[in-house]
Amino acid sequence: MTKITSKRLVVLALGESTHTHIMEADMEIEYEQASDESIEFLLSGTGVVTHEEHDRLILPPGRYHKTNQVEFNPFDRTISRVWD
Amino acid sequence: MTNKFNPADFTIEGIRGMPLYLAMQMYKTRYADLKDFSANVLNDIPSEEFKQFCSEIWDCIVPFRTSVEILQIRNVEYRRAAYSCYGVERIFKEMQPELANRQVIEKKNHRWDEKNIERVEKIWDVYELYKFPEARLYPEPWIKVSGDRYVYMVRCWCTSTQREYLIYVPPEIGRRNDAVEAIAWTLRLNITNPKRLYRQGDVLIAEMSADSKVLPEGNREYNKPLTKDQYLKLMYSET
Repeated sequence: MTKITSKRLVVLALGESTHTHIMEADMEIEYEQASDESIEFLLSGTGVVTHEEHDRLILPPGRYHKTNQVEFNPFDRTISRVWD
Repeated sequence: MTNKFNPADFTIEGIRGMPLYLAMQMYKTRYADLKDFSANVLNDIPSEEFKQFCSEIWDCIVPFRTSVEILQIRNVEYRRAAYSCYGVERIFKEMQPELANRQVIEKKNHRWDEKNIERVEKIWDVYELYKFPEARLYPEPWIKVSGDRYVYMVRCWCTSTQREYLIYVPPEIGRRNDAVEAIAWTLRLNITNPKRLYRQGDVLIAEMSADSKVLPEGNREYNKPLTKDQYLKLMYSET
């Protein structure tokens, strides 16, 4: 398990192209990243999640957990992250 | 001939940074010839050097010729761009999929403007579940196919970009003939008792309740798919 880190800007997910989901807050964000797909974070203030193409999300103070969408691969019958 | 252009210079179907050859494949799939490509794409590019380069490599580019080539693209955004260029209707005509289930869900979706002011929008989300005959998706005899008769894909539209996606789901989910359950399957939770869900494209953010627990990797509940009920009742905002 990775240690808890504090920042005001956290990259929640990088796309395979140049798209990025970024969260910024007016106060430090404590977060713990178990893997690229699994991030737990604590917001003391308001969090704003932005992306180049999707509309923003506003998160009130609280504890959160982030995951990524997955897709079935019918060719090798595996489940993998949806890349955008 | 060498390519000195930055991949970030190429934008197609809203995707920046697409590899040059793939971008050109998509353009050649969409446009009948170099004249058509020049009129619709190159004329808007300020760099004469780049225009010249694209014109020179045009004859070397092999466009997508079949639906199967497109449906085999792993990256969901690249796949989306490819079938937009090829034509979704053309793919459906070639693959002859069967609509297994279609649901239109009325939702209250929460959105925010640039000043972070919240508003509630009433939206109607459409979800379609298709069965693709397996034999049509695996024309190559060297690809080992499973015993399932169908490959299942859920078709949905992004509420903020209006883009259309085709996402594969496993046969055991597809066989339930429920398009909303199929899209819920693609979203995962690593916590118990989520209070509220937020979704931005391929990212799902679950707000934890007071009694939520984070599940460790290896727990049998880890990475558990959302249920249809969670998807419909807990989703606060989707963009």
